[in-house]
Formats: sequence, C-alpha cells, structure tokens
Amino acid sequence: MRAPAQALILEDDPEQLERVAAAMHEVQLEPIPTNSPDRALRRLRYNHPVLAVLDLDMSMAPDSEAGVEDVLARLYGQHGGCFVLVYSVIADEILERKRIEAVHPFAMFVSKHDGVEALIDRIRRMMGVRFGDLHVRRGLTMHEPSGEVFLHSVGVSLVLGAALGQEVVLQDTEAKAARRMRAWLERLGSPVQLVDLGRRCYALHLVET
Amino acid sequence: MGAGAASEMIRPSMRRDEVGRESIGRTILVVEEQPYLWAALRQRVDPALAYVRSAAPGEVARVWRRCRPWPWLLAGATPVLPPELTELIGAHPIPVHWVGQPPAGLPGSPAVHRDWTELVAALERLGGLDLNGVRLLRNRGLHAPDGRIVLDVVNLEGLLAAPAGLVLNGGAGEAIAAEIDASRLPLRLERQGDVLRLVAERDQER
Repeated sequence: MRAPAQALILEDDPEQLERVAAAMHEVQLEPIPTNSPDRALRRLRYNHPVLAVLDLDMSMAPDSEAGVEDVLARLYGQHGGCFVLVYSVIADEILERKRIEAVHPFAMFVSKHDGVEALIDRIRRMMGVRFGDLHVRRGLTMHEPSGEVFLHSVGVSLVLGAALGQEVVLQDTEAKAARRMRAWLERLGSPVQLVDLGRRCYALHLVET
Repeated sequence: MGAGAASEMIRPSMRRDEVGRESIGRTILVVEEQPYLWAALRQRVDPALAYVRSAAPGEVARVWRRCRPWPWLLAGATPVLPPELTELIGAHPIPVHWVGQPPAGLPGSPAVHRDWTELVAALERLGGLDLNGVRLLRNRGLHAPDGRIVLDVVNLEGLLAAPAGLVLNGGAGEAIAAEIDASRLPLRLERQGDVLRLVAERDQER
C-alpha cells in the first residue's frame, strides 16, 4: 500500500502558499497547506510529512495560540523523518538562525530574498536525491537497477537523510515500514543497508566491499 | 565483506531507554559571545561529520545538556572561561579547539588556531580520520576495518578526534579501554605522562 509522501507548508500569505503547494505537487508530494501554527499543529497530529516549509513571519495569519517555534519544536521532537526548510525574509540573519537552531538543530534555511524560485529549486533538488542505487523520484523511493519502487514515505525520509547527512528518527509505525524497507533492500541485493542506530534512530549506509 | 558482516553491530553501552531525539549524534559545540564562528562552521562542516551547535557563555550548560551524552568536540572563541565549562568537560575525552588566545584555566591542552579558517581546516581533516582502518561512521559510531558498524563508543570517537592525544584523568582511560575491548577494534591506548592517545594495535597483539 502506498503512503504518499506529504509536505507540510506553513505560510500566511495565500499567494505564496499556493505557489509552494504547486511546487510540492510538481515533485509528487501531497501538500498539507496551513496558514497558522495552530492549524499546522493540528495537521501534525495525524500526518507524517517528509518535508516541511515554514515561514517565520505569521503577521497575516489568523489568530493562533501557538507560534512557529511550537511547530518547529513539534517537528523536532515527534517528526524525526521530516526535513525542515525555514523560508523567511530573515533566514539570512545569523541571530535568527541561532534562535531557530536552538529549537530545531537540523532546520535548513532559504531566504525569501532569493525568491520563491530558489525555494522551489531547493525542493526539486531534495526530492530528486540519490543514495547508492536508490533514487527519490516522483515522491517515491526507486531502486534504479531493478526499477522497483518502495511505496512507503519512510523510504523518502531515509534516502533524504542519507543524502543530507542526517539521521532519521521514526515513530513505531514508521519503524515497521523501515524494517520492510530493510527486507526490500536485501531482496534486491542493494549495497544500501538500513542500520538501526537504537533509540528509534535509523540511517542508510553503503555496505563497503 | 558481505552484508552479513556489515550488519553485525556492537553497542558496548547501549541504553534503549534514552530519549531518541535528544541523542543527535556527534556534535561540535561552539562557545562564543556572538554566533559568527558557529555560522561559519555550520556552513562548512559536513553534518555527517558532526552537527554544529552554538552557545553563548551563559548558555553553555543548557546547550551542553542537549548534546548527549556530551559534545564530541568543543570549539571556542571567548577570552574568558565560561564558568561551568571545566566541570562539564570533566574527565570526558573531548578535544578542545580555540580561536585566538584560550582563556586561563581551560582544561587540557587546546589546539589553538589563529583564525576560523585554520579551525575549519582542522575540522575538515577529521572527516578523513583513519586509524588502522577505523573510521568515523556518518553522524555517530565507527566503521571497523572488517566492515562492522560499531555504535555507542563515544569515548573512542572523542579520542580519535585528537590524533595527538588528550590530557585525561579520572576514569576516561578505563572507559576507553573497555570500549576497545568490547568493540574488538584494532586499536590500543597509549599513555605518555598524562596524555592518552589511540594508536594502531600491532598484528602480534591481536
């Protein structure tokens, strides 16, 4: 069964929200568009995105008890298979980056000064990464030599993590899918190995010969 | 080496009850008044080698606690020693690098760099560490020369990052020796005065 890879978008500007959502569609990610931190947190109760794009400035957002920091903290603590792009006009400011880093140490930054095309380009590159003989393509993990596809979104998280040099922390249900991926890799004779690092951390490594 | 050998993993000090997200693997903790050195390192240090985290002197203890079990490496640029730093370093094998004159009282023998570019170059060299075939694994752990992945050897990872050795007292030597034994890595601990360093185990010792 396919679990479509999803992408959370938190953006208070409707026009920008629409453009980023369109970019997600283009790379075969199912967008979860939200325009306030409260709504983003609600969606994170039931959804497990592989990518999140967060605007820091919520001045146009409807009233929200939570702030963007709460969304970052939730993503960091409970969505270890989700890679976070902070998309903001203040993303270039070092003190701002440090403030975000304190909440989510792995957050990556794209400046709004570089335009939405820079963000879309970043998303495209992330959603086309390769690791070993695996390739993220159309929101799925493909084994290039055989053309076989691993359908669960956890595969995308793991390949993205390997390409970005980050570990992936999985929830129990996702860990089951990761174990299925391990069997899939073994069956295909892939040199990529899924390593259980303990504490629900997983990573892909290349078997050395 | 086949996949079977690679999948054999050693966890001498595995603790399943530890909170997952707080254990983020190797970290470089940068202590400075303003986070400029941190920003430079974060752009240049491959996260697969270590995550770079930032702490102003007054934040050291709080940020240190988020680098479980302790930072892999400490980099600093402050003229004054943050008050808790000596106690936090304790007997842990943590290489210390300093840009500019290190503050009085800084424990061990820090590697001193004239500017941040020297520090970056030193950190980049760590990415290629190879001692008798033992190399750093991405994010945490070690690659054994026989292909095994060896996890939970934080003491070894720390000392490996200081090829010239570290001034270590207390129980650090015993902890490192225990990790070498449990992981069956071809390494040996060598002591010269109060400096401990890792060296290649000679074939006849194996």
